Amino acid sequence: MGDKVDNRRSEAEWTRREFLKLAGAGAAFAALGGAGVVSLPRAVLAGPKVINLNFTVWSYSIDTIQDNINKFQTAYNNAITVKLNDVPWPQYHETMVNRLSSKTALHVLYNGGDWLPEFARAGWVVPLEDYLPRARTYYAPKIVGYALQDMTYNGKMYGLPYYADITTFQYNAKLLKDKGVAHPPTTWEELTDQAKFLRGKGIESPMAFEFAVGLPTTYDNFTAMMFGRGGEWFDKDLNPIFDQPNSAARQQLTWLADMVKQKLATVLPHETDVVKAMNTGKHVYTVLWNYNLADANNAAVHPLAGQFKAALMPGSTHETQGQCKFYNLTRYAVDQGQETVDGALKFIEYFGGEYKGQYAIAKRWAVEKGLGFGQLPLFEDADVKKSFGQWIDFDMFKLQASKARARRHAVWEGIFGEFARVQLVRAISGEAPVDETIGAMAQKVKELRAQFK
Amino acid sequence: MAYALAGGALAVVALFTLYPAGYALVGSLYTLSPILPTSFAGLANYALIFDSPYFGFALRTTSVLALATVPAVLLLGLLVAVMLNRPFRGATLVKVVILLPWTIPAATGGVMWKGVFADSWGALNAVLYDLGAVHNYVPWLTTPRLAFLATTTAQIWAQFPLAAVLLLAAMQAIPGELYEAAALDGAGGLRSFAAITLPHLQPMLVVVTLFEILVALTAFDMIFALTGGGPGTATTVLSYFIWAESFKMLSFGKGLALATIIAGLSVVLIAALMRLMPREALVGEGR
Repeated sequence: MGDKVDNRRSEAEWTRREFLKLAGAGAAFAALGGAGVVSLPRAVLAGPKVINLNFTVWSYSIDTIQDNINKFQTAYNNAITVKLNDVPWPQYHETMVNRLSSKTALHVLYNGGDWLPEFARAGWVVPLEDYLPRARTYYAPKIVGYALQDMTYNGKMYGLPYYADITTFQYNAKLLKDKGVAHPPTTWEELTDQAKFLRGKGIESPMAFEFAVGLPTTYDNFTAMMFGRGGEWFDKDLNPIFDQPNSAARQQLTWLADMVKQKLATVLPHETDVVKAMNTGKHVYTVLWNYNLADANNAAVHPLAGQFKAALMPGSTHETQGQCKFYNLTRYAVDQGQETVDGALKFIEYFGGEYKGQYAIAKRWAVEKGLGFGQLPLFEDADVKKSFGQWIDFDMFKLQASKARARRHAVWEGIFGEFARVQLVRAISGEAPVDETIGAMAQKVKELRAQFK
Repeated sequence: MAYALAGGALAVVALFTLYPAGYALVGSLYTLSPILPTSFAGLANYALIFDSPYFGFALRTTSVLALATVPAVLLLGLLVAVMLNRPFRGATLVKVVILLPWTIPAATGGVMWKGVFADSWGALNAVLYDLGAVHNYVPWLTTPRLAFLATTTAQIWAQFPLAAVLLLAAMQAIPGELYEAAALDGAGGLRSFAAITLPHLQPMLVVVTLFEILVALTAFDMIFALTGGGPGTATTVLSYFIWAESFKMLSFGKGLALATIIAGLSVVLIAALMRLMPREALVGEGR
């Protein structure tokens, strides 16, 4: 006990000489140690390297995406971290063009079939199959046709599906029956007749549409309706056919403009507005991306939930548009080196492919949000069937999906889509005659083809 | 020393005005797009603009917007200024509140007005419906003429406060003795306003008019947030057209050509207006 006390010295008892001696020894030790550290291999020094990825999406269910990211990071022991950036959906195209062209640090992004040719031609995104060969050999055979088509450019597969959905014709089955109409319309002309009949029964504006110049969905909705008539925008060589005298596009746009002019149809600026409007009981029919039916039939949110059903798209062929939004690897990521690419591929596969034998993320979107999917195994998944069965006749969903196809995409379609939707809204709102707007769109195609030849 | 001071000012002007203007002018002669190779286009961008019916639409829409908003802003601003020029309890608070719309960022104002005019969930339709004035919602933002009306209303709301404050400041600088003398001569309120107030306000009215014309010519953010230029092209003004050509059509060369045209139009218009104005209105002479 006494020895311990004797050997202990307070700082105050250190002499200046002793302090300097100790400091010198410490410095020498540190220098030697430092030299030793420097001589260690870098890997030992740095520990496990963390890959940092930037992931850009449009603003939809950000909380769910972040939760999925957290799960991914945990699955890989935080060796890969992902920073989420979101961009409003209406401004996604131009924002991404500017970010990608200015070489913003972006590793993985949401992309769609309409923008893929443009982004790929500019060299901003790269084919997934070049870096993950099993994308082609293993995943592609398990992806529904329209989704695969939307992810393919110049024969190369560029991503794995975030979601793939179809546009459906949706109607209030109870209201229709209550007003004495036995079945939903099978053609657009029959819909007009039913709408006039329903007006006589007190439903002034039986149809509600989502059309706005600011929304890419406007172009999608119109395309789906036109597909119901068996139409197309372009032929296989991407020559315009929508401007032919009796084209499906011209017929459908004329039909839409007439419906609005007669006030049998109401135009609303966003799909959420349409779902709310349908739930007022003042409208019977609409055409929307299918996931909106899940929302409309959500009893926790909407008063008329359970009354809405899907029917085949009216028209002669009952086809509709199928599309896919997917996870795309960027050229920027590739330029960062193999480790970054490996991390990004793990991320893409976790989100759009299988992880431990499950399409966990795609399934989550389907079950929790009603988003469609491109992965064929999910069409037979019991949980998905059960979940979808709560808001849609699953057989009808499968039947309509079997009649879905993707649009033909030109490299300039991103620009054309922006232009076309303004023209569509001009015609529908009565601002310009249908022929004038069709002519303007055809002229734009001519300009774009000349620019991009 | 004088040259050094002038040089500094000139450098700032050159950096922030001449360089961007020159860049725009040169850029307008090129095909500039993030997805196409850059190439010299000569006057092709200008030809495309003048050939396009949308330039005419946008020019007409901008002109109508200016014709609708500028007089309304001036009249409303003048009316408010006259009311605020009289002392009353809480005048300071009212002046602050009046200025609020002008202090709100235009994009935020656009979103607020969207809440008023939105077809299916807007406040205006809700009020009209509750009052029994309408049985179905009025499609304010999806009908071309109504959307333009909504845009004009929002623009006037955003602009009149500044006009009111500037005119009020000018009014308060008018010597009170003039009104006292006029009253002794038997002049009533209207006569005093016409003979004293308006002549003294002339320089400020010119400034406010020019400013509001420029604001109307460059209106963008409020419209972007409220209607997005739609439905169709019903509210597409020139500034929105520049943005759409540049960022939606990805044609920066054409956007720069449009900007150059609008800048030129603005200069010509302002020069013409200043020439038409009496000199004393501009410099405040002759009082």
